[in-house]
Amino acid sequence: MEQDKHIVKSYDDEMKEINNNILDIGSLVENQLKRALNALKNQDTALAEKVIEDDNIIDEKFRQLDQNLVLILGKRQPMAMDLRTIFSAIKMNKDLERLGDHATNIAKRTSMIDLVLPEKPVRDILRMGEHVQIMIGKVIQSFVNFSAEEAKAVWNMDEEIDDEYLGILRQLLTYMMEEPKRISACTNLLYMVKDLERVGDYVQNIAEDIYYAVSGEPLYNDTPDRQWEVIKPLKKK
Amino acid sequence: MSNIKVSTKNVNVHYGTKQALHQVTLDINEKEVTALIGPSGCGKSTFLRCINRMNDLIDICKVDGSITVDNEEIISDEVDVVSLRSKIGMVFQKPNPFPKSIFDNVAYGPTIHGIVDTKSDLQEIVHSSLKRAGLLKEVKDRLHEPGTSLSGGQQQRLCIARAIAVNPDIILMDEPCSALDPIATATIEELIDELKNKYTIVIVTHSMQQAARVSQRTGFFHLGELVETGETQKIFTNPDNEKTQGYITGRFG
Repeated sequence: MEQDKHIVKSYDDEMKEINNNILDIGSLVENQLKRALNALKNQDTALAEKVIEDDNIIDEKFRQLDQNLVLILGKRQPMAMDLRTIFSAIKMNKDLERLGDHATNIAKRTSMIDLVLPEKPVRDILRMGEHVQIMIGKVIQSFVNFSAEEAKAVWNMDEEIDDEYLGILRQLLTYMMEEPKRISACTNLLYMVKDLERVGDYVQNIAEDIYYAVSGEPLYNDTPDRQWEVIKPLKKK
Repeated sequence: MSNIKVSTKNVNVHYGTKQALHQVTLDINEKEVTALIGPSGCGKSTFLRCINRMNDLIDICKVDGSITVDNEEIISDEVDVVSLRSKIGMVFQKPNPFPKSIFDNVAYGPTIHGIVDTKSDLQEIVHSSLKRAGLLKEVKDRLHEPGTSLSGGQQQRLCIARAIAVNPDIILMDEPCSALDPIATATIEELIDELKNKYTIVIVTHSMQQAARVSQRTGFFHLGELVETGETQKIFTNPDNEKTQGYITGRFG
């Protein structure tokens, strides 16, 4: 992000480092999800295990950035746009770390399951995964450009992700009802699709944080959780 | 909705040919703390000194425009400046107790303004003022020692006690903590928090964090102009003006 320089040069350096840290974690998380989905696509257990192992790198970077953020708050007592940026970075850091956990969850399930997976839902999950990856890329780009407009556009994308999630959820429930022997495979896919849906939510949170950092105005998500629309009809009458 | 205690409209101040304030229009709410911030030489102290006509003491200083206190115009030759100043106390950057005892420092104002008739009334005012300034506990056993024997923070609280002893409505503070250590500063800030329930306070400060901590409204001055004014919370998280943003984030000054 480009802003006028601070009088104290080291303050600029510290802010720049925080930006770089966020971008670094962002691109690592993006790559983790990409590899987790590839592992699912090819049922590649070795790749899945590598993804699980590499989550430590993200956790370590998260802790380091967390410390840097506390330090800059104490040292610089930031105000206005700087304060909003640091406040948002604290939340973004946490959300990115959680996002990495969800990528790892997908990899964990891939490494554990030794089952024939139904093709259609897997294809749909992979397509949803691509959309989520696009969201992650765009949200990182909106941070680089420090653009509230771009962040809001990403924020709006989550609705499509939720639609895809509900569609796959319905599909999996139908598969399980029709063919109970697929329950085990479908349950694993159910968890994965939920992980992707949560990733979408975290990206939406990050978009909210960027929007606030840039504009000073909050962007709230008060839409109801629609997954109950799918689950409710299954309730015993 | 707060009542407006002080209202200034199009206030200009000249020192000789140099214009120090340009068309400053600002309302100050009753029983609130209003902070004035800005780089050195921006006119914030000059503005503060207009409110109690302190600028009258400088020969080459000329003030025009309108300033009302309780809806009464104060920029007029007919105003009784002594009575105005009894209504508006002032605390300065460096604690400046009189070279007298602690008791006499506080008793001086009520005595010369004829506020008290009896010795016991005077004693009562001195005690209550020291108490309100959060100093009584520390000095009650040495009221007759010189005011200058106190620590810097205590001296500043003594000056606040002296200011409130004449029962003013408004207290002007010109960088009251800039000569104090962080603990003494915290004590004064705590005191400001209490005092605002009874008085209208205007504080000039160089510490943005202090303005953010103690005030409800903030005005940002730059080159003699009031650039932006608004709720403190808004000014420090999301100011409208780019100059305000640049100053409070340490990008220019």
